[in-house]
Amino acid sequence: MKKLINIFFIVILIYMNTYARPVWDQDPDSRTYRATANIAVENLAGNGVPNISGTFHFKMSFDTDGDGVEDNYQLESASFSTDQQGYAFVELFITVPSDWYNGWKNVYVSDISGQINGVDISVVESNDTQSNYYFNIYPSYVVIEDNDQDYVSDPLEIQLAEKFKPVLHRHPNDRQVNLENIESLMINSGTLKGWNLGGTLVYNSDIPPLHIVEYNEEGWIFKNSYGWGSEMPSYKLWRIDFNITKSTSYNGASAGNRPLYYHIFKHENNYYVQYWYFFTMNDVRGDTENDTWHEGDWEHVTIKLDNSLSPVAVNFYQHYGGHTKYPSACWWSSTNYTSSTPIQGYSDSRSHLHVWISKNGHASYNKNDLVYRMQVNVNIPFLGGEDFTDQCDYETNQSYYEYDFMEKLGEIEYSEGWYGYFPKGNSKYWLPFVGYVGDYYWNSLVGQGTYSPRMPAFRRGYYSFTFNNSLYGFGNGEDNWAIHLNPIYGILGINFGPKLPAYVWNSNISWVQNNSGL
Amino acid sequence: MKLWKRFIKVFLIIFIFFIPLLSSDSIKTKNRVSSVYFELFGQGPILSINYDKHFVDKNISFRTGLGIFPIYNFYFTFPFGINYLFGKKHMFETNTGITVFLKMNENKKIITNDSKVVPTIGLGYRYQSEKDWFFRTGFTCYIGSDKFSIWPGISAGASF
Repeated sequence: MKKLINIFFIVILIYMNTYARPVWDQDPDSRTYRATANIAVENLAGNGVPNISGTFHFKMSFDTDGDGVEDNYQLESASFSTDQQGYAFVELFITVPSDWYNGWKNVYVSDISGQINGVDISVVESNDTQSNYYFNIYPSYVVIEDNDQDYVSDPLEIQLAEKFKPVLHRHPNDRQVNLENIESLMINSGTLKGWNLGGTLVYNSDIPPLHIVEYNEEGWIFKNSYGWGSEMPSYKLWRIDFNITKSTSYNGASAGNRPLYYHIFKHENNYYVQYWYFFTMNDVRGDTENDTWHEGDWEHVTIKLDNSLSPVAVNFYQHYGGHTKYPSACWWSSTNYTSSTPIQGYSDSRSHLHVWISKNGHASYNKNDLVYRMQVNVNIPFLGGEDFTDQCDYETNQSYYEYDFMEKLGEIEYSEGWYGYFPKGNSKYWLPFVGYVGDYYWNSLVGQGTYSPRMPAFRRGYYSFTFNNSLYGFGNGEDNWAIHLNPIYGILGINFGPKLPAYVWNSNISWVQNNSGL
Repeated sequence: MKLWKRFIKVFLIIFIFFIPLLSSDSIKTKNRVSSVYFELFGQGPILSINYDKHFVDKNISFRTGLGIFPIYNFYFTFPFGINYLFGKKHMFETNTGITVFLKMNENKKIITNDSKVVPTIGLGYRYQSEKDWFFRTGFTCYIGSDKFSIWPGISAGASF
């Protein structure tokens, strides 16, 4: 029996000596372990990037009572910064406790950050940044200048924005003379207003710094650009009002102060180049039965690029949706000068898109496209309804919306801790504002009107326009577009309120041959 | 609230104007049954409150009312009509008349140059007797210069 007990203990000792020591057992006598990281950081061109910092971590976890469950650990960390060639080397040591029984290791790098040419980086590719098997790792990173943190390098954004910047054709009879500069407009004449649930104006203040609001399940959240503010659950509606004279508002910005805004982002293997243009007024009162107008009119066009940065589709935004065209069907010129002659079909040397803007409504069209027509039929003789048709000047090339410079819109991000949206990096500070931009016509008697738009980040199209959205996304044609809106009937307007039989009233969207009216 | 005040004011004016006419001794009446009823659709043509009075002959009645048409634009409506009735309690009704549409803008002011008068004809079923419920249903045809539209309608009220 004693012999058996001895044999049992010998087996246990052999087992412990063989298996119970950690698999990372490197130096069982000194019990001090060394982990290293050889870090390399380069840019898209393959050149090393200096002064990129990060932290290297070496963690050893222990099972001191042999039950197979981690019950203790040691963690060592050290920061690093890449040298002029973009390299950094770090080593760390851990001496394991005398009572260790089993253990695991984990070495990894975190918190990579830094700047290129004074611009914050984003990591677009990384390899071998952590290991549970090896003490020595060789992390490598590809980083880009990316202030707005959208994983598209800022120089590439500028390059793409310049390459495709469009020529905007204006209808000669459009009341809007020039593009508007929203920043100037807000600073010089903007007022932030808030209405409570009863419709009473309860907030009326200067804008800067622009206040950020958000509606969530708790109500309206009210914060300024720095995250300061308070929750105001009783607020119903926020709007920036412009103190402008209606008769002069159509002038837009003066020469030298007319921006063309752009937004460039990547989704899956495609890049998207959006150009946004802002008009002071959308005023079709002269073309409709009602006082159909609103201040603030964001419009845009989007060029979809493949991975080699060649256009594969162009989406023209019109009213509630858009139409997609192949680049071969669109009109391009070799420069964005208004004197340049548009030619149908894209080539790499003819990359500036021509866009025809409809009169007063400012829908964007490809040349010779059918145009939007909305008819409202009130089923009582003589009462009339509505019959509005876009008008473009496809032929004369006599008038343009010129711009003096381009402005990057950037990106926004939602933060729980921040209670709302905020601009990423150097993105436009007003981009996260979620209220309406400008006053608008509203007939309270029938609960209908023309809302002013929201900022581009909240417009249909900033992202959703392009992703799996059958109404607003790429791939739409006249038929698909019309299916969603045709017919509209009811008492209170589009997709809202109780529906009445179509014999009471109905609305019809169709696409008709353009008549410039010139 | 102002809108409702105006609504009531216009309604009272109509009443004051027509009631003496209907009760005039110069009109020979056999059975002057009066009714007040609400109408959904019909000549209203969305929702209206109406007064109906037999005169001259028990088979002939006059109808006037005040309604709203809040479709796309907001209109106050004033249906006027003459009905010819066949039967006693259960009657077949034919009628002709006009509906006046006064367009209101968002500032609650009447836009006179956008206000319209639309002729109508109609037919339907009516249940009516003195001091009893009033019920009617039928179709109203609005007649335009180049089109007409037919609206079903249903009315309920009381006779006295």
